[in-house]
Amino acid sequence: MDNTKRPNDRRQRSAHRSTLLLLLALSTLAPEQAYAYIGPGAGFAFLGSTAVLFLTLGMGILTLLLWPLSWVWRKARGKGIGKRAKTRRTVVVGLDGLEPKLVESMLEAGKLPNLRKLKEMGAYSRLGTTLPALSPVAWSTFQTGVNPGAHNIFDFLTRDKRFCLPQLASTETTTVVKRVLGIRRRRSQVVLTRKSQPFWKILGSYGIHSNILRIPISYPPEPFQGNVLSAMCTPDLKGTQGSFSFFTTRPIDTQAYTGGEFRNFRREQNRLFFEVEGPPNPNDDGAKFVTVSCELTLNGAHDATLQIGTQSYPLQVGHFSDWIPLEFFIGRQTVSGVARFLLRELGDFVSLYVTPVNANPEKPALPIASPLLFSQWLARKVGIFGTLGLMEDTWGRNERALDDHSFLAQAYLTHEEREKMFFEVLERTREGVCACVFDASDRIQHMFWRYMDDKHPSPRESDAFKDAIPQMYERMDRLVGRVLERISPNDALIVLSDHGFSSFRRGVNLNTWLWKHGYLALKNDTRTGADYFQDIDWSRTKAFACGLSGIYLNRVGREQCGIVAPDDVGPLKEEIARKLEAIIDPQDNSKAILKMYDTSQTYSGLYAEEAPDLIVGYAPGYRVSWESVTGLVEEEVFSDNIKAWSGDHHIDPKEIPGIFFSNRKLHKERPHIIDMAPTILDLFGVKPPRHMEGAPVLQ
Amino acid sequence: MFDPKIKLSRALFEKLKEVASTLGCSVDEFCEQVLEKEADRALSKSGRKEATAAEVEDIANKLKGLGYLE
Repeated sequence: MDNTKRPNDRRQRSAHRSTLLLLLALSTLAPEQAYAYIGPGAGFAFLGSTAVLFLTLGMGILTLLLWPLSWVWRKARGKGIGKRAKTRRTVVVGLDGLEPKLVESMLEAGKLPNLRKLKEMGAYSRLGTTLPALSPVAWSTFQTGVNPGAHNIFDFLTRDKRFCLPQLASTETTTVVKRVLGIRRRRSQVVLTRKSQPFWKILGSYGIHSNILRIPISYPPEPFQGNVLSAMCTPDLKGTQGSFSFFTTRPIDTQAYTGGEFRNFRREQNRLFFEVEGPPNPNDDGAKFVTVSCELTLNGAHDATLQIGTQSYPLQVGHFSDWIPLEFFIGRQTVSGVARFLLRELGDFVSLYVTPVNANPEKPALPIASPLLFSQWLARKVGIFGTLGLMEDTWGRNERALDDHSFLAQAYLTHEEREKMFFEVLERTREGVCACVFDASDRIQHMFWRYMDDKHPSPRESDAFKDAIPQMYERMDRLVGRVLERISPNDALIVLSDHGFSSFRRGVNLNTWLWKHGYLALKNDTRTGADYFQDIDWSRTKAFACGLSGIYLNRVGREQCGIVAPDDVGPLKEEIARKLEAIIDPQDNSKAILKMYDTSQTYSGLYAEEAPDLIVGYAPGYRVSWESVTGLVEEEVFSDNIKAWSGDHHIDPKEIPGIFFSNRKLHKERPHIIDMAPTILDLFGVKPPRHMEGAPVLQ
Repeated sequence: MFDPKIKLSRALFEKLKEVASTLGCSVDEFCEQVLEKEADRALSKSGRKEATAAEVEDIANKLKGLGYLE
């Protein structure tokens, strides 16, 4: 680093820290933020643009006034990066799901020159992942340096112990009744259920600042000394994980669609009318959602004009629009969302795809960032961006609202947005941590793996996508190249993936298997095809599968209708595990499950008892079937996966490690994702707390 | 901001502090988890056994669009 620039840098750093301290203080003093809109029946925490302007001005003035005090306070506490630190800045680039076998073969072929350079500068290794190898679990371990039994995230889903219904594992909605001036007020509150401490919070307590962008399982974000933009599991304005809309003049099948709505336009010659659904309607007037009226005027063979209120937007066939603001009026409140529109066809038929309505980062109706103003600051720097947890619309593609081309275009639009915000924040992170997770790598592999696997039963659209995955790896390599250009030798750089990838050819319906083997009972012994465990007779059910990799026993004293006595738990687990490890796919006599894991032997910590009792380690090519995840019992245990979602990573974690690159040398042969949090603390000279299970791996 | 508080003896608090620090959580978090587990256990002996249709619909809505499940 150029020493002549140091005093100036210090002043900038100090001013930056003061601003962030103030942002933090203001955000913690604003109780409305914790009670944001979270779904049906919930209230809204709406921050209007006038309030934003007022707060921003006020904050600026306060920053100037309080800067001397904050400088004295910091010096008095002796906080900040100490002399034992190995770096003053650590950059973490998460490339979700990058597969080591592909990385290694492409490195060998010279197709990833920047990752090769990084390997030569420092180190490359496969990175051990969590049980199960799922992003919410692995990224939670990355953040906290503890096993799932201590951070409480075991899957995307968990089960509600009362009715054994599946629910999101990372957030919980609670209703709080408060009495204000003698008046009872009920408010819904969304709480992050990931426990333990993320490394950025620990660094913050040492006065070391972090900028955390889109690291999974950070919704709602927790306040700390730094900025965080939340990611995976942030809902859309409807309160779902992402509901697209598809409007068309074609006849629509009456079947129920997953992940979105198919509707017909109302047509008047060349004008088409439709309504985009937004937040749940709190009024009892019959409408489920508050809507915005839109009009599409057809101009010619390739373009149309979208009219929303007084604003017009040109649309071209096959091209996504920019983010378009949508204002939903609920009484005197306005809830602001954004969506992209894609004109899919314009000819004999007209079809229009609309992305899920995201919370507008400029006027967030959801707690998407901490401090709340961070998302507004980012939006002003890089433009409006999507805020939904899973931005790439995989169900839109599965249901053919999108084709392969438009899905890929959407994934890369999201990726470009992410790159922009990452480089903007990296530029401003003079010291501390700048970390960002890029998801396009995961989603593109989920949807395009069938093009790499000749044996996959899912149909392909065109040979043009044969190289979609290798091209994505090359694109991620170029991203790493741009990072290398922006860091100095004094900075530490970590590039990692949370797990690898594999084919998903065949689904295993665990609930069907449990039913056929007498562990799960149906009401009147009849299958009606009802989802969400509605067919299950809990009074006779000993075990059930919920989520992507877990089997729960219906235990007395834990599940409300529990029938398995404590003394029977161990033998029952052993019996089920032994039988499932022997399960053979009748299609080709392949072994479908490599290993069953007893979580009482694998997990430790305060939340270990919340885990599924058994976790399935599938063989490559297999995964839990789509129907089994939410408790639907079918006739057959095995089924072909014919969806576009053709790659996955729910197999035995030993078979599916991630990748690890750094510009520093490794001093441990087989690093594990659990080592990342202690490694980052150690880079700043902070001793990892004793509850952390991993160990520093970089010299 | 002004959540309800409960009183503990100093001796118990010190014991909890020690346990919590080895587990990497705060005393508040430790107490909440232990109490919640016990409350669930007690509540599991009474109450409705089946979710209502509205509760099932609410859950389905919240999970809608999650790529990993149908």
